[in-house]
Amino acid sequence: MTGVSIPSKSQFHQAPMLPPPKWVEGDPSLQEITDDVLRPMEGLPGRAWWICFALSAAALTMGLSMIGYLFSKGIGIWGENNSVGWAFDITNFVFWVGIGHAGTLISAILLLFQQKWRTSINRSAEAMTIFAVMCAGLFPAIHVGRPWLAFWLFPYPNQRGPLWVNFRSPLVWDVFAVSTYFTISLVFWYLGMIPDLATIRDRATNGIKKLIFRWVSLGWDGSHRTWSRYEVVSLLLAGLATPLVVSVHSVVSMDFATAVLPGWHSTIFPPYFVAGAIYSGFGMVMTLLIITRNTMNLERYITMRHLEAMSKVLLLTGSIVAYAYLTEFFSAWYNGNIYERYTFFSNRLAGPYAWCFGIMVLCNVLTPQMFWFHRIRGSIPALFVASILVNIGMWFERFVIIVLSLHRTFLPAEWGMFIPTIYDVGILIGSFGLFFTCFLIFIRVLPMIAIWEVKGLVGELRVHDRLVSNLRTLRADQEDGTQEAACA
Amino acid sequence: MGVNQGYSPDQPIAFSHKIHAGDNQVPCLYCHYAARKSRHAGIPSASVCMNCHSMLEKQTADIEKLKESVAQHRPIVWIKVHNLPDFVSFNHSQHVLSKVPCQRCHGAIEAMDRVKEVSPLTMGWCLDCHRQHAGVATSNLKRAVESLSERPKPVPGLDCGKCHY
Amino acid sequence: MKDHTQCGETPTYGKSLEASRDLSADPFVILSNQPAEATRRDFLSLMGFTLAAASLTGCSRGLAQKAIPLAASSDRLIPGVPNWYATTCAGCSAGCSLLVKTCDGRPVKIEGNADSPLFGGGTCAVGQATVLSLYDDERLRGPLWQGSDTTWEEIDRRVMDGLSAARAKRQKIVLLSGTLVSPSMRNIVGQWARHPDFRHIVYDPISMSALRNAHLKSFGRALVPHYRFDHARLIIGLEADFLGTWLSPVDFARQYAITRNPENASYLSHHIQFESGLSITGANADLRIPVVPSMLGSVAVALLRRVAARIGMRDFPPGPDPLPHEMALDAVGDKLWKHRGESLVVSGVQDVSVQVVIAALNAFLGNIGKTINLSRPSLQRMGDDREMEQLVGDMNRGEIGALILCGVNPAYDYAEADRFLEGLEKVPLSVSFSDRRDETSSHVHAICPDHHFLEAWGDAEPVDSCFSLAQPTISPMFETRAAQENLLRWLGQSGNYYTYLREFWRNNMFLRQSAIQNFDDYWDQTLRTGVTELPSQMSGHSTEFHGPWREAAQTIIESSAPLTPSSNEINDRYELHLYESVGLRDGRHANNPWLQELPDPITRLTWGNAAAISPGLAKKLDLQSGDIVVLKTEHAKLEIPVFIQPGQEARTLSIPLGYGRKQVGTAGTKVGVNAYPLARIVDGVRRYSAKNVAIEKTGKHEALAATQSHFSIEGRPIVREMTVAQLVPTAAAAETQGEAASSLWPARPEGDHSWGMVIDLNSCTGCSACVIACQAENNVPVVGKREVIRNREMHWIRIDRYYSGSEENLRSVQQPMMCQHCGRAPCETVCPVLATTHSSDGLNQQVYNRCVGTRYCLNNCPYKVRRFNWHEYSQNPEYDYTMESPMGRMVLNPEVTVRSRGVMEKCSMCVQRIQSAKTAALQAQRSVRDGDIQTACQQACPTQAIVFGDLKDLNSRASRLRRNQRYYHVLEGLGTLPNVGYLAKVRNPLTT
Repeated sequence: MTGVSIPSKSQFHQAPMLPPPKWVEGDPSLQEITDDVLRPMEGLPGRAWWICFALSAAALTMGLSMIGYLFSKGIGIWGENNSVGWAFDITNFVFWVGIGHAGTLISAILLLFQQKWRTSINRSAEAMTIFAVMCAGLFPAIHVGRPWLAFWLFPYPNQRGPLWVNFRSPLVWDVFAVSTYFTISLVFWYLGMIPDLATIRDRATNGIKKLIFRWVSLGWDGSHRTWSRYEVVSLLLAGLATPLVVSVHSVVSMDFATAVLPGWHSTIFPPYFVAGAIYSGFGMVMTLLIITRNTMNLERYITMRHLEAMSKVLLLTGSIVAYAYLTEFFSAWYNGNIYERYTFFSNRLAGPYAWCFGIMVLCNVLTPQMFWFHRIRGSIPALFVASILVNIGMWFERFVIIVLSLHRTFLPAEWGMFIPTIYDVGILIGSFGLFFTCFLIFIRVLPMIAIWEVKGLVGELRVHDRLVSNLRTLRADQEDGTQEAACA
Repeated sequence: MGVNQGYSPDQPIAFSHKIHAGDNQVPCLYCHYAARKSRHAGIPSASVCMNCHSMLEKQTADIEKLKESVAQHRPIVWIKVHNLPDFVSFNHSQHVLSKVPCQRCHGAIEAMDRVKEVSPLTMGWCLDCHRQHAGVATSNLKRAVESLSERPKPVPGLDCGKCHY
Repeated sequence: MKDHTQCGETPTYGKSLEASRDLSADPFVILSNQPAEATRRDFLSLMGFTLAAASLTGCSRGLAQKAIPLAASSDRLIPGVPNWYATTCAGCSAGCSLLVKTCDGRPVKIEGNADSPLFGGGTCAVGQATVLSLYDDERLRGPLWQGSDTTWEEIDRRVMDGLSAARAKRQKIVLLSGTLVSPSMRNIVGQWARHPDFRHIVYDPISMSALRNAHLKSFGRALVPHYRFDHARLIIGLEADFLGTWLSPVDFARQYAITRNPENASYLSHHIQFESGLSITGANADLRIPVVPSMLGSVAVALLRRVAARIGMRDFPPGPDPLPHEMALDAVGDKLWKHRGESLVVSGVQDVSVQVVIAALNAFLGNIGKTINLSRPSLQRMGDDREMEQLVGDMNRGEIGALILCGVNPAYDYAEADRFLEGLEKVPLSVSFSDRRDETSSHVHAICPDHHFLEAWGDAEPVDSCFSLAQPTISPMFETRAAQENLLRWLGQSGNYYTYLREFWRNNMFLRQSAIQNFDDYWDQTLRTGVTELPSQMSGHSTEFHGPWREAAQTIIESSAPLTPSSNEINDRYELHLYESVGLRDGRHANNPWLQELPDPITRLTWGNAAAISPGLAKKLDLQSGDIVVLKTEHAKLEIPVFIQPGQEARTLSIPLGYGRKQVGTAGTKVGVNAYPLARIVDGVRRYSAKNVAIEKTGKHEALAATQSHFSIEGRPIVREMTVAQLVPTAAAAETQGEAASSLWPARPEGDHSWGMVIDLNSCTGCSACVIACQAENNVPVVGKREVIRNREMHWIRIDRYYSGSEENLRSVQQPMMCQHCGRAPCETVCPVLATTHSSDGLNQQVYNRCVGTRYCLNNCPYKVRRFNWHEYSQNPEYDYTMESPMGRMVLNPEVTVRSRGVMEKCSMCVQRIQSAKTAALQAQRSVRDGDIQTACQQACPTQAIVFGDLKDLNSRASRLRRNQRYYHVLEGLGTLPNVGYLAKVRNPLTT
């Protein structure tokens, strides 16, 4: 018997070739993908978009005018006082910084771990990061008593002796952490878009548009050399961005962890805050994606599988957060410090702000546990509601940490209450206005899904199918051969 | 920012420190007597000028103005040359009593016909002088290095609260 | 710059007003073509010009700052060098002796005169605040006739016409004044009294005529004795807040502290207080027994009965004891007997019989001449309520031809103000010396505004033969004229009051002393020291008690027959207790924003008053603090918010007087509720209590501006207490632990000093003088009711109050709290811009011009003593209190920066005083000595509870106190190593 040994029928069936998970549904042609993704940019915006845009723009305008009033009058228009020096301002700051994290996590860490499912969501997630960090940066800038001197937080040579910043102050660390974070995220986001920008350039019919995109796509030519360099750079940047996912919110958490206040003075804050950040970030990504996929009919690319994957991340990080809450209470009880015990057991559980603590537990501890059930992970409405709750819960978590720790500290004589004014609330709403306005504009003028990456995925599918069919033909030839041998 | 080095405004009376402090050797503290006791050097009132000028027969238009102001009991409105930001408390008497020559900050005043601000009067400029006198390096790098090895020396007037309160 | 703000020479020793007046004509001011920028130090001249802070914004070139010297220089007046003048306070009738600091011609700070034998260096909150009243915008600029401006000549003519008309009609001419503590003034009135038709009536809104009448009955002379708490080992108070407001609180607090010093345990006094509402005196007592006002008399009787039994006096009128406290009463009775001759019973009850019983008690215990001085009585509170009553009657009958009102405001503080005003309408000529249009003066024919006492000459004799002089510290700012001068002129005498005063002293005080032969020397000497004490002239009066004590006791027993619980009346009938508030006293200072914003030492309320009710009553009536109720007595009704006050007697409502002015000025008008109408005259004396008060809920609520909301100490070791038994005799506890605790930070450079402070919680009475002193010294802004409600008061030093124990025996403790100047300060590490750093001499310094206002330091301060400028509080019409008007800004201390909005501030340990003391030492070619530097709060404290000093100098008072066994740090466990420490409060329970 001669010839190569060819796997027998039985052997062949024992080793089936599994298809990779389908992250794009109803396998569209490459042309279709481009069309689908770029449709919103080339057509006129729909009614839904205009309504959302009007709302968020209005919120933004209100926020800006209130900030103007704030500058003219002073921090006093907020509800803060001698007992509670920080309230909505820093709550919002931490909240927004947290939101940002999901973007970096998806684009950087999932890239390093070669999670294919990130491809169709990372672009918008990164965009979200940028806008969230913009909102976050707003608050430290306006919360200072003399905002026109806020630049003193940066070290620069001066005539004062010279007088530097206090490198021991976590606020200075924040300044560095957040500004680095913003820069890296921006570069990473932009770099990731270049191939698509080139695609737009090539499709553009209108001269000005062509001009602009030629300029922003930095003369991308899609050659093999360009691509290979491109891969390397994005890997490098991913490597750079990865530590930021952990570092930024750890630094933010040290604003509190390094303080002496019961409720702030805690060593578990860094991991606790990072987990919380990713949790809230994914909550926000989910909210946004559910909206966009339904308004921009991109169901093909942002599939249920994506949402399900994210809900699993929420379940994980949500559980970590819940564990952190427990740890806080345990250590408060275990260390026996009367001030700690008061802060957690008497004040958070039974104090005047106990309802905030309640909301926080409801949204951050109970909500994610729903995701154990497949039916909930599979229902869009349920996921949408859940993601909103996650956002609310995480805002309240920061409020609880900041205000509930501040309003009743060591000396009972200085205990007080914080009552928000319309300006507290208005500027919070304004920041949401800023966030959504930016996002809505983004999905109009830039491809909100990484076309080239999605194409890559579809490419893989094609390769797989071809391989399978080749094997089929091979097997068929072999069967013919054996029959001939039998005849002879 | 706020540095007026070289500021030299016209004064209502062209008073020359060169003639008084320079040529005629009038001691600074004769007119600015407050500098010994007060935060302020103090600008002498016209009556102080008259202590001499009532005896000197030399007459000029400016001296007329002076006599007029005394006669009418109306003060002369001078233009302030050395302006510190008013969140700084500088105390002349401390420096005068510590034997700091006026010229150290005001320059060769006895050679000026019209007073000119020669020093930047910035905080850094103050501190450099204080550091020199305390024998501490004025260069930041050097100080940083020293601070690693030995306990920093106290420098008189280096505490923020010495001037800012 | 501030450096050259200057406003003319102030009158100095022996110099007449006229001599000084001209100089204010050529102010030495800095003009500017740029508005003042408010973080900047704030300078303004007498004329109220402000200085531009051009320099920071860097555009100072081009806008020239002008510097205008004095037209004529003086060796007494060196720009930037403050001058001090001794004078006498006119804030109340106690007449404390003062030293006034004038910067560049403006009085900016008031301090106690340490040479005063009566008051030491102490002052009270009101005294400290009077300097602000000098710059009150509401003061009249000149005399008014029928409400319109006029000249003094015109006034003199019209008034003298009116007076002669009255004389022609044989109508009475009445001078209605408050108690006159000025001997020269009394002499002028004496001259008026030569006219047969003239009558001088003394009217005190807070009257002590019951006490005076009781002494008339008991010792034959109507007087208020001078009490000597420092000679008493057992002090019993019945509704007498002698540490806060009663008679002469600064004097009494000083005496009281002497006997409360645990380091001298052999002579540690007991203090028992029977009172209905919690006063700071009750809060300091070893035993405080809440008693409903109507039963205070029977408490006195019960004590007298026990003492009388001891000295074998039979036939004591029988009667029941006020039941609830029988045991306590026996114990007190025993203790009284044990301390015969070294005990003191004082009572503020306005009831002659009660006061007779008290007098008897003191007499039987042999306290007269020991703790009670009748031969050198107090010359305050000479008012007689009966006379006032009569005057109002005469006025309404049209028998008064002319009425001269001097320092009184009956239309506000007289019980039947309407009747008084009706009468006033019928008076052909009415003249008021009030400095403003107030409730009364706006109804008189002529207002002849008197000087503020800081502008005026004067003298005082608060206690017999204890004199003090008053001299102007600034030339009068308006066309005002001294009341005495008016009275002299209208007598047809020429010459001004200053010459009169001098002559008066030449012919009296000078002759009564022999030390100095030359009068001019004597005068200068007395002006310099401010006080002089002469041998008393009142001698030979009997101090033999012959009072009708049996009858008095009888009437008390009958009047306070214990109400039978069966009668359903009781359950909804309550009693009322009206008291002077520490801040506003009788209400004459109502337009002083500092005092309006001064938290009441007990309730911690600002900007208004409320009726204190006990927690039990609140529960029973379902009332919250701030709920508005209507109180009904038989004469009047009052709508007022309630405040839940621990320690309040269960059936009593306590209401502070002095609020609810209708017409006084922007700050004080319509603040709080006027409770004077409830203080009716009963049997010829004014009662500050009432029975049978009905409470009606209105359902309305009002936010109360309290600076403290939580009074339980939550079992935290913030305030330490110990009993006398726990005191180890010769123990000197080592310095507190933790000094050796390791630090993450590298060592700081260490200078020659380490400034620190020790506060004795046992001496602190909570009188709050330090709070105002600090506010005046450090330009602390007033923020108003709305901001206080939002918990944004700016005081650098606050007095925390904590309660413990039961309702029946409430233990209360107060703790002055300011920046602790931590050696390892949590605020310093977190400030991102190094705006708060540590100085080489141990101060935690706050650099306003570097602060960007992140408020991180405020959050991280365990003591929560940092204060943030939430708004622009200076030169901002929305906060028109002290720093808005050019007038008000004149009180600012030019040595301290006025903070702008958006910067943090806090106690600086009066670093400006440290600096000037160092400079003074340098000028004297010596080093700073212990005691050279006194912080504002320390200086103001009448009990010397605050001690500042150099901790590097092991023999400084502060260092020695740090080695005291009672020494501790607040929140020691945090390892902040404060430079401010406390001495534990010592309780002296009755059982010992």
